[in-house]
Amino acid sequence: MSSFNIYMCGVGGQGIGMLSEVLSRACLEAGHNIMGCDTHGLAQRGGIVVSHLRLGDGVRTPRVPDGSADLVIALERLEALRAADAMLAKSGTVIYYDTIYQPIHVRMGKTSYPEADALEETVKTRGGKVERVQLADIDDPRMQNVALLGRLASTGVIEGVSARVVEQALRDALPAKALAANLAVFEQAAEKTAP
Amino acid sequence: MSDFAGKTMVLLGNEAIGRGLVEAGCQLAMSYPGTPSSEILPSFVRFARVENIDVHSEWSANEKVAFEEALAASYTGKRTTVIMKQVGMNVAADPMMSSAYTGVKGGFLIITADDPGPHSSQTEQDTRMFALFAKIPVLDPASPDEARRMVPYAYELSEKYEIPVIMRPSLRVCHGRESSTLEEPLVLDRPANFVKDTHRWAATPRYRLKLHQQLNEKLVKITEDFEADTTFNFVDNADAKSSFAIIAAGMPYATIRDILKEHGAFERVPILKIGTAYPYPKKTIEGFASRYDKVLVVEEPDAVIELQLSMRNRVMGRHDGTVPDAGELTGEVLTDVLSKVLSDAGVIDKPWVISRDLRKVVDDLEIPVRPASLCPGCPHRSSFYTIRKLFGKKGIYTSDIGCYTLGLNLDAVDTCLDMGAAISMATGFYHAYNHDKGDVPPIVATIGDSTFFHGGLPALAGAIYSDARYILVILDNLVTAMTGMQPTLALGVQADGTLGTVLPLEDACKGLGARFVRVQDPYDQDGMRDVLKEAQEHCRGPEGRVAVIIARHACLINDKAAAKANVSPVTINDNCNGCGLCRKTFECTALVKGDPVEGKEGRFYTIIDRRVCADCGQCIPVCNRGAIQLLEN
Repeated sequence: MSSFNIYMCGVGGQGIGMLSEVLSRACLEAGHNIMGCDTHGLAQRGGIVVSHLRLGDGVRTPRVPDGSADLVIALERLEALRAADAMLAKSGTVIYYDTIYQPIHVRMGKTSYPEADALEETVKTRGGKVERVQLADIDDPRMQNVALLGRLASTGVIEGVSARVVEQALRDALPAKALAANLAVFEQAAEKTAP
Repeated sequence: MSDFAGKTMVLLGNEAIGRGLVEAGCQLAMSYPGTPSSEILPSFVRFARVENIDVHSEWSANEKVAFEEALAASYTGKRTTVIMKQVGMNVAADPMMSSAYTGVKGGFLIITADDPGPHSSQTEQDTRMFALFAKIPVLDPASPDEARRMVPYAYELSEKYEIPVIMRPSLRVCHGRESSTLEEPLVLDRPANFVKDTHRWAATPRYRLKLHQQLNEKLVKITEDFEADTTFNFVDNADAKSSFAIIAAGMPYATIRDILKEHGAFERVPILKIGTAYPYPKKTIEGFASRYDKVLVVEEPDAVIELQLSMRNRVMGRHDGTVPDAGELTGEVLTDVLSKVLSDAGVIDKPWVISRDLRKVVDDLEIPVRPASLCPGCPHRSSFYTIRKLFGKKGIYTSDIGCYTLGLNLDAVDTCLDMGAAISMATGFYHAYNHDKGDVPPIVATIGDSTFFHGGLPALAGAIYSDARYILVILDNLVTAMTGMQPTLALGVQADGTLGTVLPLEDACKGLGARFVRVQDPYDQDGMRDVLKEAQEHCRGPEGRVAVIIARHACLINDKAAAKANVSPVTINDNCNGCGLCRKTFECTALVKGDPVEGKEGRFYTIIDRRVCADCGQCIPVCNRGAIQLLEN
């Protein structure tokens, strides 16, 4: 059974739901059979929000097992680290938006936010790759998910999920009034890495 | 013709179940929201609407009420359902136990979502155990699409034997996404027709014995049906030459398949998949088990099939410690179990090399946890802050199930047990301290608006009647926020958006005999403090009873207008000395740690995280030094 496992994570309110929705549509359009599952309920309030997406014909379980994510898409640096540590498969890829949301014990001064190089180190020990995304001029932090989609599409790490396919999924999933601004961010993020 | 029949859609398990209800001709659906079940009723409403089918749907006061409403509707011959999470079944247990005896007329489906983990529940209870206890047939889907397909079957079974049927999807089925090819909806022309039969619908104990005997006869026949079923009970790899086999149910069945396929061992292991745990399909299960020396039973969250298996010496599972007896049976857990069991049984040569052994290679990596937190601008935070500041450490703070359980982070929640318990436990604390004839510490119960209607009403009646004296704060954010913004009874909006009757909280409290009932906006912290003081005086006064404060301010996530109504952006000025008091006592995700204070180790200036700040200005009074101030333009 060959499967491709995608693990998405971030902090409640960052727009993981939309990221997951658009990516699911794009993967379907690209001809993949998909299964997945999301976080619901209380965790959405400022806690960790995750979404699992598995591609492959034989897949029956929606949850990506620990240590088997071929691709981690993280909306926050600490959550990227947590996912790289627990979820990333050997030689997997981490694409993350480099921004910080302090968890409660950091805010209260009981512990420190991890150092910037912890993520690179962790991914290196697994023989994986890290793609850092940060666009200087995004006004609305809720569009950081679209920036990640732009970068993801240009890397071609998911078979068949090209920039064109993701863009169409965005057009299908987003309300008309939000579309133009999101597409601009999407294109900007894609261009930054275009070879 | 339906535009949806024949179409393939990727659906959330709960959406698939809602679709299944429409495909099965369900006419009335009652529910109380609770993760992981909350999306089922809205999906039913939506699919009925797009198919132009007229249905009745309702967010009921609680699960017991929802159950009784849906059951009575089934007595009229209509197809009905009641939907809840697993702990909701505890609330609905009374009518459920009895309904097994009375039976039903129109198909009656009880949908109860289990939460192995638990991810958002108080317990890991297994609804199938409840089915066994109540003598009600139970179906256990292993995937979102199977859940959809089980719904019409459940209705046919229910009507064939005039018996309630339970379907219990677990969290990964409810919130899993899978493609489903939709089928035609079923539109039933069944006017309500309640045929009186007092020996059944109002049976006295003498007739109850008869009903029990009839129930047992029904179960014998259903057992035969389940033993004949090959749709939800089937064998993979029946021809595999093996002395070892697996019996699996629900999501663990799917997980086991994936693991075995991943490790190339699938074809070597016979697997019996069971979708009908009760009544126990003995011939199917024991006929299968008798062909092997050892049988591993994998199910969750508890051991229901395993418990019923009579061939104890062949069975491996939770009872002999092979499978862990708590927690979700994730791929990781089951990989460990299978690796050991299969290598012991000689199915594989040696235990698998498991890729996650790579985990934690960076040993000194201490990754901070990220517990949930009340949203910035949440009115509950203001309530908790004022309560805690006024009554301090010596106060006893009972609370309840909802977003506001997160008042824990402000040290303003001491207990959280079950729906409605904030009030009855405050009554219990009062009587325990009052029993000693000495000082009763300040007691403040906090409960949400929806939870108050769910379990708080009888608790308040008991508190007033027994002369308990404490402060009850109803945190009224005008919505059931935690489970996804369902309307409460106080709003008079029904599940399909149509208007019902508004039930004001203040009228309910006064009607139950509370003399002190005030409505207060918690954003007005001075006003909130004053009314709390008055309430405490009332409790201590000669005519004192439970003093009720309705802390009313709309949830900002649900009500965008409310979010824009109080715009008071703040900034930190030079008075900040890095003491951290604001971050500790107000606990807001927008008040974050900034640069270290020079020369003062462990001290950090506070800064405002403008990305998440709600501009509510509620943190201004928190700083004693006046370091948090309105942002000047």
